[in-house]
Amino acid sequence: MTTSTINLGPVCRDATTDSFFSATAKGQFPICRCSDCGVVGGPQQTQCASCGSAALAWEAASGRAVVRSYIVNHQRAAPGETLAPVVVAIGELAEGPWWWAQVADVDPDAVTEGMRLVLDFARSGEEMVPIFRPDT
Amino acid sequence: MTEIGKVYGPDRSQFAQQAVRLAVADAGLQMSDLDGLLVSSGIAGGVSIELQRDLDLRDLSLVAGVSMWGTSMSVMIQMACMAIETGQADTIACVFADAPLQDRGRSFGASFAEGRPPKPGWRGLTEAAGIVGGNPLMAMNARRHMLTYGTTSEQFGHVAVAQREWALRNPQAQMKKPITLADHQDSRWIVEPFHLLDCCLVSNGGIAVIVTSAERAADLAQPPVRIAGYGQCNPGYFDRHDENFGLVSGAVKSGPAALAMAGVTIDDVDVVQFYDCYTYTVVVTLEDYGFCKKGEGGEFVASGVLGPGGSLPLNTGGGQLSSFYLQGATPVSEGIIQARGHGGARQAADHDVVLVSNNGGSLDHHTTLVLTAGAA
Repeated sequence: MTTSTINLGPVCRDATTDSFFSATAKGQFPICRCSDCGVVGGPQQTQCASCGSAALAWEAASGRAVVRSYIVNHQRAAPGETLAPVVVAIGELAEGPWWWAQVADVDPDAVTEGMRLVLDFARSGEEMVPIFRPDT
Repeated sequence: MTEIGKVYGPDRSQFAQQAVRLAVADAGLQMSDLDGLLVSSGIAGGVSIELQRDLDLRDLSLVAGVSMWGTSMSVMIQMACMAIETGQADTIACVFADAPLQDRGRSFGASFAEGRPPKPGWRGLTEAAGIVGGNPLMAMNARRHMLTYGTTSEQFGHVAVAQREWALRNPQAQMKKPITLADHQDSRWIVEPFHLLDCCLVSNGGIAVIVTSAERAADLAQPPVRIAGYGQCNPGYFDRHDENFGLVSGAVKSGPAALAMAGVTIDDVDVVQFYDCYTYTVVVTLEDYGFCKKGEGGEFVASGVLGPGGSLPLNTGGGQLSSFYLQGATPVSEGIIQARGHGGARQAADHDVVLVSNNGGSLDHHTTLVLTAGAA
């Protein structure tokens, strides 16, 4: 069995992602709940996708997710030289939003629709980046 | 059409200039007959409204740059139709050019990914996970189709094999050797579920289309092709949570709109030119136009309908998979060639109604053109 690895590229914190990385540094994945209608959106939301309100409050996601789709990136150090595959999945968080992230320690051939995942974090430079792991 | 493929030397703007001059000459026009110019760059950028200056075109009544990814060529043609119908312009060149291949022997992927600083904002996070360029984005779409409907890699392979057979009949196609289903399955992984032979080519070149009134077209050098209907649907960037992700494209709306404008139905269509950035894209698009039921695209393409001798002449030049990748200009140019009856060894016997379908982004944009042979 081949097991997936994590291989993150560089990230940079900027005005858009500042509060996101502040949350991930504390081990939290931030999602937005609309203060007016209660609908939950991903961390990228700047206004409620349902009612348009800009009154959004941050909260930490539970960390539970399921696979909605996934891919396997085959890295090559050089032609013919294969490295451990990187699995990237769309995880549907228990709260609803979708998040695209690498999946650690999974057999790429064993990933299925609806497979249960948990959020974790891996370091890229100065920042902590969300990843998934199989929920064992 | 300029020379297209692994063509080195001209930059993007020079390809665009050549394409406009060639299209004007092909139509039997003079450059001074143009009163409109619509331009679009490919992934490499570099084609702008400065093309007017490069071509020394004077007193144009319509100029615009269009940035709609793979749908740009169709969108430019739609805009040209509207400008002609409203009297804003009479004879408009719509040009697309790209030159992502800059160095011999280096892959575009290497040129694209090397030494890039992290992207700002949310895009940076997605790219840090390895979602860079079109391959992983569309692979994610394709996998969802497979997970939901049971579509298989072998079924995708049938698209690749059929289009290679068409390409062998097209002297302008980049790919010259036949392939089998086994070749498809044995080709290296790019991003699972895509093998190398699921992915489009990379090409340098330029294509221009001249749009003018039906009256004027009737007097020009080539058999006229009527733009009988057009439609657009831009479903939005639905990667954040959308049940349609990977399963449904904008063709479900742009298709019926364009066919209704043309006064035809899908059963009247003789020849089909689809955006085929990946084999999967053909499968999902066939479903969305109603050539088969939703979820049955895999079985449909594996049933022998595609390829020369099949019942559905689709991507008759070889498409982006086997002929060349100039985004939306690939399906549009082959659609025009077929409607004119100039397809040579690959010409479809019936070509009165040609459906041209283009995607942009990761199925974020969709356009349909219905072309009919003759000016009336």
